[in-house]
Amino acid sequence: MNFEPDYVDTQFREEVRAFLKAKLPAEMAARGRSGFLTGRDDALAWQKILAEKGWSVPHWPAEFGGPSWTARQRYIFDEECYLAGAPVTNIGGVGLVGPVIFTFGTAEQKARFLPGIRNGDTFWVQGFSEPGAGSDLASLRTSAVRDGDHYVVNGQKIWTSFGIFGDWNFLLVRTDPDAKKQAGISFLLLDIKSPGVTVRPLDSLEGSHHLAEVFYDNVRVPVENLVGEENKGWSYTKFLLFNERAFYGAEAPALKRYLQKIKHIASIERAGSEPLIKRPTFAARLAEMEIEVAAIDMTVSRVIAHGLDPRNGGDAVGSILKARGTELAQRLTDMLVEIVGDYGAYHYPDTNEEPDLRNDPFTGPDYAPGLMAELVYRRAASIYGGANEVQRNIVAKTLFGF
Amino acid sequence: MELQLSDEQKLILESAERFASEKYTFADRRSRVTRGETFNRDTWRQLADLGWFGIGVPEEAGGFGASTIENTLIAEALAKAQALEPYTMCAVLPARILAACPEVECAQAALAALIAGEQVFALAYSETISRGDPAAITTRASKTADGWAISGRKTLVVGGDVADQVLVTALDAETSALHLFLVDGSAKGISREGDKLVDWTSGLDLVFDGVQVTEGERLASGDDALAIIRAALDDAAVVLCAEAVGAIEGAIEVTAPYIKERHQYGVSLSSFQVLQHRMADMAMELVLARSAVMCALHALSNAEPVERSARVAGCKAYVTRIGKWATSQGIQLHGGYGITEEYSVGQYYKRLLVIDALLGRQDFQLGRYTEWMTAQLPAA
Repeated sequence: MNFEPDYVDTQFREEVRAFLKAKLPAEMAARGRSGFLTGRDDALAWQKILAEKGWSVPHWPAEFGGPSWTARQRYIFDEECYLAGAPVTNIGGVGLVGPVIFTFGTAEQKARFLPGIRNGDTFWVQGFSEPGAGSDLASLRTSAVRDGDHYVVNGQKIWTSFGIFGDWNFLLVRTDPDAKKQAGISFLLLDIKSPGVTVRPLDSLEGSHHLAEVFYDNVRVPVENLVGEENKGWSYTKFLLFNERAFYGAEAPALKRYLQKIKHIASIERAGSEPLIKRPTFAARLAEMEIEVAAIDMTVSRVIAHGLDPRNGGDAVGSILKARGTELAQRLTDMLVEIVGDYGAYHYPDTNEEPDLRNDPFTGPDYAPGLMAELVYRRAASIYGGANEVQRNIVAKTLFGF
Repeated sequence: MELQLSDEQKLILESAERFASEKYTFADRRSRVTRGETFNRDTWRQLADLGWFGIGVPEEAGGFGASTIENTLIAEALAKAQALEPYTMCAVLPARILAACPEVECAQAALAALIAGEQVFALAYSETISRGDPAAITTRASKTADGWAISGRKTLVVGGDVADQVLVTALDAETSALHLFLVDGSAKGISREGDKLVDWTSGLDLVFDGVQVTEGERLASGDDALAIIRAALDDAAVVLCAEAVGAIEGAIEVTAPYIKERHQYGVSLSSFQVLQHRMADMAMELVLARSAVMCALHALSNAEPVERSARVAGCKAYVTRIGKWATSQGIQLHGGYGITEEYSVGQYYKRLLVIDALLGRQDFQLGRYTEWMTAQLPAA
């Protein structure tokens, strides 16, 4: 262990900053910072800008178009993108299904699907949870029955993030109804425009529609869209879920952006004649969270540098980071709403989801819209990716054998 | 930057763990506590012989190089084994101060004696009004014909009951400048009040009543003295936080098997999800506490003094808070047995209670961090 500064990393950070300054459109950055979830237009447009630079799939191997960065560089890149207000790219494609395809897919699947993800042409959405299969994912019941060169899919998925933006859907289906829970599951890739697919947006608490239900009524999926082997889908899912927890779970770059934003707004907002940030009780609460963010960030850095180390939570570290990172994100977004005072209670329409509303006038400071949406959206963070209670079960089982 | 232990560091950690677990068995510790023995000179000498007192002291000052990182590994292992000997407060902290006074002859001789384990040193800097701030004192040093006379009361002097030499701060009776002295522990006019600390380690009041010291025993004065003390306190605070990490880990390691073996209602306590989740949270705090110590070590290596102190303060506020919680839950999960001396879990909690008090409590530390954080913001 040593903490000597790494000049290669510092140089890389400057290179990323210069790129962002030159290529990230100001309006796109403002939308990225707003707190509303990134819309389809910005997600794909930003992905295209990144693709031109060769930076659109940071953690993919070079043969599939990755930039061959170190894990540390990828983390720096994520962090700088977040701090600059860059849109969030399509995680379902870049972060989740892409790695599954290049790891377990056929040569044809790789050639057919990876370029679209890399270049920002296709938007992928996940079909895992079902009304009867939430945290207990393996109890899913959506079925796929082989019929010649096709699978015929019937059933329902729910909590599909960005479902209304989706072009393609990767989903888990039960292909062997007689096998034990995890054993009869397969991993399919499905064109969401296929006949028999219905996407129904869900009204989220904050008034937007980032979640959807997807219904499958005798949807025919070509057999070549099966990933890996039939009935082996659970092992690919574990791979995917581990990636999700370890690399996205803590969302440390997002935590840093919240801190940056709180400091910025609390320096502008007044409590009487003084900036809010000068109020000692407020500043001390912020300080406590900043110290925690630094500890989470260091934990992520330790995972990035060395993988699973017993001194860093061992195999449980993904769950640890997921639970603690999301809980901290909830506290930080709560503070973001608090600092705009009365306007924190106002409803503002989601202008990322509905670009037509972008030029409509609104009441309150220009940073107010989006704060409440993000707070409410963050209530989902301790649920998605495996509820935090499940993460705690995993930690107890992994570390203590309970 | 390299976030994993090097092979040398692993060796240091392993040898510290081995030594500590052999030396500090729970039964042995209890019998020492019953005898009222806070400090064992033979043990102290053994720690010195392992080379652990010169670690973190530059080679040109007579140390063995390395850095505070190595000190934290040793402290973590000792705290996990519930060592009674105050490694952080009586080895790391005074060594830092003495090493920062290379021009002073008696300091250099003292440092050699400290590193060799021949003499025991204590730092008497805190007073009732200090609350972590080494400048907030009332002890006075008055000029005499051939030196100084020190009068005042120092609190929570770890090692004060056994120290051969004591580092003392006092304000100049005329100029109010702060002086740092090295005083013979058996000097006339020093009296000791108090007994020991709640975790059975060394610590009490030293009362100075016209204690005579020579001019040659004045190590530093004014801003220089404060800078030396503050830098040493920063280093020691991080090492103390590593002790907290060791204590949290120790509490977890005794509690997990306990709730597995203990049966109530016909089932193992560990089958209750509420207890599983409690332990999961304790494990999370351990990971984050260790990361917080690494953040502070990062600051010690890279940051300017003001930021360095602030980040160390943030670490101490945070680690103390979560450490008290995690170790207290170790007691909770032990049920009634947890609050007895017969089980080791409570000792970890008591160590955290003392760590909170040493070198400035949470409120002081969080205040320092907050002040620095808000000072960084651009004027709106």
